[in-house]
Amino acid sequence: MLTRSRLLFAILAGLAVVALWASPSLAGDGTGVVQCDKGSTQPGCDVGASTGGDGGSSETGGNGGSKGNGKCHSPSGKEIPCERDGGYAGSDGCYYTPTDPSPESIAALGGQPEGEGGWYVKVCYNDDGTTTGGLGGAVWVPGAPPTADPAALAREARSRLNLPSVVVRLNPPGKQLVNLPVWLSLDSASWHSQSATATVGAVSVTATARPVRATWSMGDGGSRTCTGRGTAWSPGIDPSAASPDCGYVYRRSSASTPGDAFTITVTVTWDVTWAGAGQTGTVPGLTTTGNAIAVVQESQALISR
Amino acid sequence: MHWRTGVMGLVAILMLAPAGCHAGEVDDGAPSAGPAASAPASLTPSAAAERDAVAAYRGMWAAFVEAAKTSDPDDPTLRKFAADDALKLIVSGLITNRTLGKIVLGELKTSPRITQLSPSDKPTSVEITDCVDATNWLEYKKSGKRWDDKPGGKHLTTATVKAVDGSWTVTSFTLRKAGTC
Repeated sequence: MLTRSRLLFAILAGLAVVALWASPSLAGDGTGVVQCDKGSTQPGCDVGASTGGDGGSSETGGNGGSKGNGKCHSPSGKEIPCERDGGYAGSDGCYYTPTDPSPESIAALGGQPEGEGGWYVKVCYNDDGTTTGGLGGAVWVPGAPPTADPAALAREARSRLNLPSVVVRLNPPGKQLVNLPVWLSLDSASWHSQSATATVGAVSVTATARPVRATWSMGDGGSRTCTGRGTAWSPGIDPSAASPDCGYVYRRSSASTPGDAFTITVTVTWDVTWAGAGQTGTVPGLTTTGNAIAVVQESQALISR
Repeated sequence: MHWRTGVMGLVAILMLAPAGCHAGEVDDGAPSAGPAASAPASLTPSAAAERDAVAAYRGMWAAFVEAAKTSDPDDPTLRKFAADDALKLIVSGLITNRTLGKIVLGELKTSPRITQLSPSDKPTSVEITDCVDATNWLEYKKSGKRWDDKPGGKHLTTATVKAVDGSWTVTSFTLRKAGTC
């Protein structure tokens, strides 16, 4: 028995080797992503074609491959999985995953196209489950997302967010004094959650931006980061008291600065989350900025030594 | 998981084949170039172009192999050796791999041959043909496991290398499916 099973094992192992050798064209090597098909639309495959900016030529679906019944179909009507390798089916039968290329990558891909749209990794599959060479890659899809993928819709919803402008309140109002605490705060309208919704077919996703951080660059080289909008100083509060949550103290006057004033820059960082189609997630955050001018004067009387 | 079979349907596209392409010949036009022995101190323009074009071509693959270990599309070395469509293709591929959670490990062998120099006397554009051996340059998951159990292969490849201000970069290449050479 032992020898027979060993023999059987040896035969099976031999068959496996033969099977491997019999399919040399199924290259599992690293060149798959840079091979080019005939009629390829993969970036960089078509010599002489224009840059990534002409993404409009790609035959992506405008409204996704998902129909109302939650099933996904190829252009020929065949039912296909809605999701593969993390990508979501478009109406062209290819799969799209939202991606955020760096500026260097975008430059290499031909530059950032104008207008609405998004970057996606596109992967197309043959009926036998293999991928089609040269039809995928990092592509710009103009307009609405090519899929009803909630994550892709979340990007779209994010781009529709209309965040408030940053209005700065410096307190006490008017000129600031060296060594006297300044209360830093933002107008309440600058600091509240915002939402926007994107819909493809039956799928809707709402993105919500929430302010999480205000970074104050004070113009004298110093900075403060506060996790709230700050507290407004009001008359009656001791002017020498520090802000309970977001304050600063200038140690020199602005007299020698251009315009005799410091320019304060406030950057508000927003976390963006999304929810829809029974899923939730996050998308890259956003920032808003605002400016203010601070005239800071010496006040010898307040210096105690 | 089937991305590698992108290999499957591939046939070449591009082929910027200008008239007068002498595929297979090395150094197809340097009539004034004497034997190296007669001019040991300096290369002829065409010999220098061949050397620099091949160096750029090899440099591109070396940078690609390095960047593919981590699927880093922003590798600065890539940009030294590849530009235009060649860079676009590689960057797009690396972004795709990164998105899929795929890396490529192992050794890639190249054996470039020059097939055309143009203009022949003072070349600024060089065509290269290669049989890129990716038998041992294979796709892996980040976990370290093979992406699939499919073997690698050899790929017929053509490339255009151009000089701009004396600096040579690969501007396009076409790599065909496994088993084409």
